[in-house]
Amino acid sequence: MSLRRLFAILPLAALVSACETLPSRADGCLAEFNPRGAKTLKVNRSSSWNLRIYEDAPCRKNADGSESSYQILALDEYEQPYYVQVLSLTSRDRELFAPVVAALDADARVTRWIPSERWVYRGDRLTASLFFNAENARDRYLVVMSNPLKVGQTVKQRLQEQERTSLLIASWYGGDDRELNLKLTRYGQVQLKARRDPSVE
Amino acid sequence: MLRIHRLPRCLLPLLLLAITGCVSYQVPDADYQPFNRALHQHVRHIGILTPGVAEDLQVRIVNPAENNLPLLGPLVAEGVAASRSSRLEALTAQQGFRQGPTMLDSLRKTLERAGYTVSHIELDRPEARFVRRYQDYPAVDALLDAYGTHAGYYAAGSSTPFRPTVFMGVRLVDARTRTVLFSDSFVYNPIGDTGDAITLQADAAYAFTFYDDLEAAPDKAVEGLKQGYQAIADKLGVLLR
Repeated sequence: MSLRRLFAILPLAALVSACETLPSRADGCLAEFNPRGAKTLKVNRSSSWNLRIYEDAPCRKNADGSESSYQILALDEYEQPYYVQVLSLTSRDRELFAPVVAALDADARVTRWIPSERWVYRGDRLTASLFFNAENARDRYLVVMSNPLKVGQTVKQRLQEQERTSLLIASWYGGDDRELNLKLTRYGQVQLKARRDPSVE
Repeated sequence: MLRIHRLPRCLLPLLLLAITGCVSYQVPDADYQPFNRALHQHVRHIGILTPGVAEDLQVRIVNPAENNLPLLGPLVAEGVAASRSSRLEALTAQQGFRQGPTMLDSLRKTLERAGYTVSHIELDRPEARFVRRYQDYPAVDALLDAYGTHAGYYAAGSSTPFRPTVFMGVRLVDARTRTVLFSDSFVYNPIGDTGDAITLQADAAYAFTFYDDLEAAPDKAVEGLKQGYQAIADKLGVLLR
């Protein structure tokens, strides 16, 4: 096979291979997490990782019969303690992904998760962090999944803001309480930041 | 021509206010550092440094209607706010309320509930910010350094209620190595852009539609502020477990 033909086939092969290996909603809703083809979450990158969990995301059937959409990332090779900060972002439609974040072992079984009380609001973002230390060596993956107990609930967040009313060339400034009724949803966008823990350096 | 450099420095903020009508609310400057409890299990005894307080209690309308009148409007609004603030400070003082001791009490209760042994370390803070250089305190494992930038009753506009408001920055520092073990900022009743601060909603039971209502119920006003400090401390307690 000529080199030119090989280069022409390679992207197509990669595309077909990706379609075959990545888990999706089309696989059905399974009782186990499927880490096949999980990308690696690199530690201490200055950039953050955007995870999109939408209708095509893989689905997990929970023990109580409820369903969760999820995405899995493989953890970087452990070198020193680090944490992953998870930020669930509000969409323009004022929808907020209702997250559960857990660590999984090599068999994709849950080893631990971020307790619900540790989630905090930072404005219209819902955030929490999970540490990875030497004693968590069993952890191989990080799963971000929707919380079926929270999906459908509405959370009120009030922000006090300046508002401007314009009439022709004149503007009137005032202040108002901006009530955000954030609807917790099964689908949405999550940002992840993996950073070394500076408290142990 | 107005020679700005000849004006007393203290008048410059007022001049800026008169021109722009803008007041910004400073969120405590605390870089995010979550607490790795599993790796810092030696932290059992926490010394709370005397908390810093930026200013007297404030009663403020964040965007008063007066700001729409150029030059004089903002100055009038500032005068009203100053008068109300000093009145609230006096009324709450009559109730025995002081920001620093309230902050200290809330933090102490929370940390004790979280299982820590707690001591108070007296400290003279010339300014409301994190301590620049920590002294040796061999009796404790970690130091809790907290300060507030704003506290009082704030309303978004002239027709919105006054709510208890507290801005606080908190740091936990290893007493031996001076390493920062935890750092975050908290805003109870978020106003405008609060950046990356943890935001907590003010208790609706302590919202006052009119300033006169606030002045008529100083005991309730004090209770609302205490709730604010305690809500921040409680959230901190969860994050330090």
